[in-house]
Amino acid sequence: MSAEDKSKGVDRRGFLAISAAALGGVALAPGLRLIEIAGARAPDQAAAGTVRWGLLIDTNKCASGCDDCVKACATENGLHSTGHPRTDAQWIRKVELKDLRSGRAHSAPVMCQHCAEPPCVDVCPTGASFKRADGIVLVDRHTCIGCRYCILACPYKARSFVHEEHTDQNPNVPRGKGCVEGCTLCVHRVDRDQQPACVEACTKADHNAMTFGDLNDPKSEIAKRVAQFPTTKVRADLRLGTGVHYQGL
Amino acid sequence: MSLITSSPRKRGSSRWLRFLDSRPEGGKGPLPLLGGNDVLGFLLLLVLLPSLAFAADRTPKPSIVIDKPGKCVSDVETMRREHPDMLKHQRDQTMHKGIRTPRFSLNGCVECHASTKTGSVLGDQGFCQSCHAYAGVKLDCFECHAAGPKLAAGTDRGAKP
Amino acid sequence: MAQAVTYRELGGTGARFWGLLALLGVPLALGALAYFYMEHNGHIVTGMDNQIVWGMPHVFAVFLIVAASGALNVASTASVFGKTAYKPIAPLSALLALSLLVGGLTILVLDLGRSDRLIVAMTHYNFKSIFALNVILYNGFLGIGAVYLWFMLERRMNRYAKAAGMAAFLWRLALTTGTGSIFGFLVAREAYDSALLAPMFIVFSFAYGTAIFIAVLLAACRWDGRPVADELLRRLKNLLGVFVAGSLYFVTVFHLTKLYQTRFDGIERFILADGGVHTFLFWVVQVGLGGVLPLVLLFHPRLSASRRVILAACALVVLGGLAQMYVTIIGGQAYPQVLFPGLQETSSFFDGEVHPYAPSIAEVLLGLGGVALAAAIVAVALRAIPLLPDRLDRASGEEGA
Repeated sequence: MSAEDKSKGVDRRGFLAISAAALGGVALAPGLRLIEIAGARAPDQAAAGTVRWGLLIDTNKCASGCDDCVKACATENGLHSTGHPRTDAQWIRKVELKDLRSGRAHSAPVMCQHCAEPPCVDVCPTGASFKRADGIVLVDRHTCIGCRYCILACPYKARSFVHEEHTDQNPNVPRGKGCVEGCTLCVHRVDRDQQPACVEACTKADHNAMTFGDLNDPKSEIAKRVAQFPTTKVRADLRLGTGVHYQGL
Repeated sequence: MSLITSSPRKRGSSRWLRFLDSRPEGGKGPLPLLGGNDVLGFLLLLVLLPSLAFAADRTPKPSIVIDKPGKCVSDVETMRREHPDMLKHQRDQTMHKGIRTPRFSLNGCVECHASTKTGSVLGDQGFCQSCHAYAGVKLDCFECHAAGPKLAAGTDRGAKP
Repeated sequence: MAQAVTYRELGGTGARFWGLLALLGVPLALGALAYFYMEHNGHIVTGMDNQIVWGMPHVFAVFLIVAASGALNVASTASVFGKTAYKPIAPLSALLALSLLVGGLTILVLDLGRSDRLIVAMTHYNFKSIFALNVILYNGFLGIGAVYLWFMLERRMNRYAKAAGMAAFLWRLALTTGTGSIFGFLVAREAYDSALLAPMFIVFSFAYGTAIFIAVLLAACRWDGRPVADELLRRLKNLLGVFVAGSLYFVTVFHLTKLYQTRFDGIERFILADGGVHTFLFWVVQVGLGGVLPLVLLFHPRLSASRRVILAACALVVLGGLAQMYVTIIGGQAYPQVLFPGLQETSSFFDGEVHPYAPSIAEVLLGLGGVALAAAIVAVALRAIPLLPDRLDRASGEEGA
């Protein structure tokens, strides 16, 4: 190429570079705005369908005896032992798994899987069991009649029935006798831009087995990991589209 | 062709059917089963009973103690009239849409209106319960909702209404 | 020559009738007490827990509901299928269907965790829920059944009885399909998750309903000394035998299919072999006492002529039905849910282990209260309304069109 052409090329290249930068800026700016909106929802804004909350649990990091997540959930949601383990509510539990043939043992926390097609929502006669726009599956205890059909229908044994009267509820977590309940993904915390109690406890204790975030946001930690590493879902054969992903199962 | 017969006056008939068909002896007045005296008595009761209700002082008036400073979300008359609808409408917004405006938060109401002595809106002198007991309207909210601000672990707010 | 069928209320002395009501009042009162006890204290006082969420009340309730739709069978045979021999007993059949349904629904509603929210249940419907659809089907059946009964009793409306009977028959098929599907639609339990459950429940309903009908018919006629023709009874007992055989067929196909499918080895071994009380109830009570033995009794050339034997067969079918409901409802919950196929699961929430269940007195009393309610409705209705013919001893074919 001649010197003349080169100078012309630089100008053209320069022009292209500048316009590319400008275009990039214009393209990025709305993206920056979107991240901003997904990260913080104003109190008077409704939960958006563009968000899909999820959990990623790396069971390779789950120690067999550890139940930090279980204890944190109980503290946060006001679930305490009444001395009747068979009727006490458990929203999350550690399941110890063992392959009898190979002897491999590991453990995993199991809670409501917040399915995209929840069987509990399908079977609820009053519609009290419902899925919020952002993927969190909840029980509207104003409408729950306590028929326990959802407990029959849930493949993950995620729900509990309140068998006794309670008077010491956490003001942020109403729960009462005669209604069905389950993991809410700490919706009262999520709505205030906090993490679910189990995830926070696991992170604080430096186990780092649990990640929470917006699966629909490609920039979120959880979305990046789910895109990068192989993950499985519990009873994936049922194809319920659970929001909880597991590694190491 | 089958003839299905049922006869109130024939053998083996039900006494109850006969009673419904018959008229009592000596019944006078506008209605076949009531006499004139009965109607007068009923009208008297209709007039007297409401006045009797207001006369009694045995139902304790509700205790409306506001011991925390600050204003409610709306004026007293509006709150008294509208709070059931406000709560009912708002609960669906919060539950299903996750809208948690502080103005309509039940926790906000409870934190403000809970008695400083008992820490609860329930109990004989509780803000919610005393009015509801007076009006004879069942309070269902606090089966599930906390009746007072967050307590230290292990404390009990006491018995339900 | 057409002969008139005279319908008459049950007679007998007043003392005898009030005695019967007083007797029924005992389980009724106890059932009510059990309800208030459960409702006030919460389900902690029952044997149900987070693993077995549906217990004895549901065993009774679903049994009564399934039997209710089957009890209408005799009336349907008369109105829809034109078997005139059954026409005189069709009103009793309709009454029994309505009473059993009311009894079953009462138990179901009273066992709810929030039974004070019945209005909510009646006004909020999730139409995707088979449970909600069932609520509509149950209430609709009460309405259609009542209209059908009215058309049968009111001379001017007799010509519409066939249409009402057809509507009631189709509705009750939908109802029992719905009841079976309550379990059949669930993927979460190894014992359920099968399309067979709906038709199986339909055949069960035929058997249980007919058994109860025969027993009530014989009891009511005995109360008043009304003769019942052997021929009519023979037809009814044959009908019952066919339905019992049909039930056994469906149970066989259901389990054979699951046995063939390797992934159901666990649940089949549990029900058929090492499930303890569930295995006992399945083989000895449901299949043996409730299936094979009644078949023998009902089709034995000499034994089946005896009324006592027929009544015994009816009682056995009912017993077998209750056992079947127990195995289905409670056995289906007792077997652990499989979250991680192929792995052994243990947890603080009782994953991976068979769940024990011991019914509490309150639950049983509630269930019996519902049965007593159904019986009381039948007794009062038979006494107040002419629903049963004066005599049922004319040979079939002589009764009118």
